[in-house]
Amino acid sequence: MVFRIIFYLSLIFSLLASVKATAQELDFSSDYQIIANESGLTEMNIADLRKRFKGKYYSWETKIDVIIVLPSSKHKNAEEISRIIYDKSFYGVKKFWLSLVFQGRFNAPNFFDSDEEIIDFISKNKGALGFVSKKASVSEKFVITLIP
Amino acid sequence: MIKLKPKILLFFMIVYPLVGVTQKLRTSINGYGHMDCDVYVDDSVTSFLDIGEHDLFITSALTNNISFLGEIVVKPLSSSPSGFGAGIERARLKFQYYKNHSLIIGKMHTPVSFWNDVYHHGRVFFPTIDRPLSFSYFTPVHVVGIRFQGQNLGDLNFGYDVVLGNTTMSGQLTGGSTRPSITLAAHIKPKDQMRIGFGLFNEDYKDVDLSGHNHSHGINTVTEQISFNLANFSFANFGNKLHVLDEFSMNITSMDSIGMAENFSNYIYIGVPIKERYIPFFGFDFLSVEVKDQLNREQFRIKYFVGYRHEFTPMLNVKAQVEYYYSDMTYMNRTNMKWEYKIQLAYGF
Repeated sequence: MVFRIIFYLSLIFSLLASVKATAQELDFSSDYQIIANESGLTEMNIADLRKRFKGKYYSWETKIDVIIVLPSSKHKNAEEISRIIYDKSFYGVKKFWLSLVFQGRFNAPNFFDSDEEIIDFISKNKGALGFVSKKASVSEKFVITLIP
Repeated sequence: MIKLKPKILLFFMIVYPLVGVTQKLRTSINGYGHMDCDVYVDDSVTSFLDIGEHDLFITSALTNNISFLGEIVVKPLSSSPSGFGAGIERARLKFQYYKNHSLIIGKMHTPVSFWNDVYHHGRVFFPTIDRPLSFSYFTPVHVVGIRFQGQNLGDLNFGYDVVLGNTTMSGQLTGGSTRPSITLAAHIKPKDQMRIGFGLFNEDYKDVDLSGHNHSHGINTVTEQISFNLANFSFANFGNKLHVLDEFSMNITSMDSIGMAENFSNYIYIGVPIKERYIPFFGFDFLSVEVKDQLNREQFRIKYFVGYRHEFTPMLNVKAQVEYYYSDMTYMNRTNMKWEYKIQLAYGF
């Protein structure tokens, strides 16, 4: 009996977690667009996106180094993006990156105050990866489509 | 007109694309520092106000796949007229030769334990005020050498490190009784905030004064060749609701004349965040050295601590800690029990 209760509770929690994750993914794809310069990719799923933003891969398939671009604390979407991608507050994201850089495991990410600054940086730096609001005007060659 | 030999041309044709060329040099310079106020209470009361280590930290992406990391630390040095001395703590070039695999050369922290690999000089990252006791006796903190590193491999984010080098800072890799030190380490990161690791280290010493390294392996100079071995297990989990860090070390030293000594150390930290930035914590740390050990000499130390860390920003925090510290330095026939009250302000800029 006890095992059965635990089993059903686990099932409910798993379903709730997946519903929450799917909701986040929908929010993300409807509100934001992923952009990268010479990544060699045209589409990506959110799990892969999260891995790349967490420094899982040093380089793209094009052998160009990944340069992470993130919204700064002054960016209006900083907290929301931190939650969606890192499941942390913006404060937690800063700590995460400070630690990685201090260990010498990854180059420091670049933080910008607005979508315009993010687009400008990415368009000038090969390998740069970031995301901006769906409303922002971006050249098609930089856009990576988010797939389920 | 300059004529290049075909072999030289071939060399550049192979090496140039391997090294890569960056479109823009990306360099960042940061600093880290700390100040401490300590009060020790045993038979008497002693207090200190110290300016601690100040660290200039530089990283630079030199090309697409070569980067530099350097740390120059100015730290208290009683033998200096100013009370401080400067040293290069890390200076390493990293060449990422294939995906997440790299070759590193220079002076670096031995990756034998989580603590030494993750935040050696950055007090602002430390979970507690002090390093584990093993750092004063067992842990070979720095190594000059060559390192093969792999990171974030597979679903478990497996990582490995193989280091050949010299930790005594003599710069000598071979010759006489000396051969390169060997460090083998591996870890997995099953979750973002979790890392489980294991490290092995071996080096032989003879006529080497290790006492100059105030946080290094050994406090005594031995004239007979001694084999120094260290096995380290680390578990770290810094979740939103619970922080756990355990560093277990087993150190074996052996000399032909008196045989083998088995020494142990374990540091455990448990933090329970009230909020993301307010973290009460507690733990203990012990170290035990056998009578046959001639590097560190027979002793037993244990400390229990409870404290609180308040993070104002990711680069500014204050820690307050109360410790009960018992030490039995058997080789000096001296025991000591004391209460320690400590406050540390740690910052980065």
